[in-house]
Amino acid sequence: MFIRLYEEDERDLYVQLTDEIIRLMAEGTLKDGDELPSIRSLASSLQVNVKTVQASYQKLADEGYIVQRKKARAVVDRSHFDQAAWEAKWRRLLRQFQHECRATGQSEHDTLQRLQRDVQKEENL
Amino acid sequence: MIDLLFFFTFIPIYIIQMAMPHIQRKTRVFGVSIPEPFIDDDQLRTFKWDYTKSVAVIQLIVILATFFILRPLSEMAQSIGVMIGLTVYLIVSLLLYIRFYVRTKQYKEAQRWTTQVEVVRVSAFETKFKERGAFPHFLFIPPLLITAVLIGWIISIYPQLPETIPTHWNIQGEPDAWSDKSIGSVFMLSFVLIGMQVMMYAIAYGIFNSAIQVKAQQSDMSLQRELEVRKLNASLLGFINIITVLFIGSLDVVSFWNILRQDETLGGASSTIVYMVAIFGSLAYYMRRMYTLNAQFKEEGTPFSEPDQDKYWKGGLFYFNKDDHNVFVEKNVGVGWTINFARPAAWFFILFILFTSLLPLFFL
Repeated sequence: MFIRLYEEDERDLYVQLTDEIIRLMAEGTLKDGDELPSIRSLASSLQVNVKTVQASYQKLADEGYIVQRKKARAVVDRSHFDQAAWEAKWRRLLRQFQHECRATGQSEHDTLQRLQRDVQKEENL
Repeated sequence: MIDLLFFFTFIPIYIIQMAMPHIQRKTRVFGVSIPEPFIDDDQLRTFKWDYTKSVAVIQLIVILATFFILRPLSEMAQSIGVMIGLTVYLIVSLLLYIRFYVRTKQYKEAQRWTTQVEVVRVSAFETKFKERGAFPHFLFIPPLLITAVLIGWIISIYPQLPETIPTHWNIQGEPDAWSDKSIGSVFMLSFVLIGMQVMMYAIAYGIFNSAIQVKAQQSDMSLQRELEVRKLNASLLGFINIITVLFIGSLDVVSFWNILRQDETLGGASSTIVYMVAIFGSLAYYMRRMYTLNAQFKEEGTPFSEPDQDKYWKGGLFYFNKDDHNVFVEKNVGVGWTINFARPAAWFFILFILFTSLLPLFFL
């Protein structure tokens, strides 16, 4: 399993890293109880600063995907996943989506469906 | 004497130097990092062959000149002369390197490669690699036991040793230097053996466990290569460790055995030749494997490339990267490993090597 961070991507490196790790969980390659690489070795292999990986792991821990342990590798553990906070975040993003659709005169429902089809197609490639 | 010295010093260096740019990683050419979409560039291939031809001609002149100047001289003058010849050879190597480093760097800039690539950072997100297996401890523990037995035996014969012991022998096996009997003079080789083994173990372990950087193209093959290279290097060091302990240990045993029987000679010529052949044989095998592992990479046709490494390599030779916590990294020029000078541990390591190699001086 590889993670890939693109320099041309507009997201910050630590956000890309977080998203890549969540993707691994979505694909089932990372399961509850699996250990994550140590911060320093991941930083070395990605050739990024240690702070980038730290920020990413911290974000994952805050959102309830992993648990960081003292003097040990972080471990995947989604038992602390904060459903309410997650839903609040997506409600906010959906509202923004709604506003942007209306402001530009597009149908929210159709746009959403079209985007979903595109994503599905990308996955099947 | 001089024929033998030449055979075992200049010839292997000469061959390895000519082959160097073709054996090493395609993403590094004369210390310049080459973006992945351009590793099979024709001009780079021309540079590599130009280098091989320059080495073949210029260094052959250096070698032959040294050989014919030294041949009629005395043995003493020859051994000093070989050192001078070797120094000249290394200076010429450095000059050749600088010439090709500058040429490649200028070519890379003129081609504006870095603006044409899409930089991707890839990592194999794993904590354990099954393919790599476990660290080859079996190559490091037996020599340690042999050393322990050797030291035990020397302790047991220590009282019977004469007050003056030979410490150096000429090529015919006759002693030409003596020392007063002391813990330092009797156990000197034992200490060297222990120091060397600690060092070999530390290097092999550091290399084996160093964090893996994966290429942006052919990432799977790249990961397999990295794992294989780590295994190969740890095994090579383990093999050299074993044969060095056997070689030095056996010379130590034979010399003390002879001393106990009032015989101060030590015939080491044949075992030295066997040792050298084993060393160069294993190095040749290693180079061959590295060539196979490096040559398999081809341009994929995508614009993806690993991040440019030039800013971390001072002069293309010295690695300085604060973000890399590896102490040992693969060399930029040639095949093998070097240290990350941004890590304090690397400096301790240099001090340790200096200390161990100077250790004999403290006792003489």
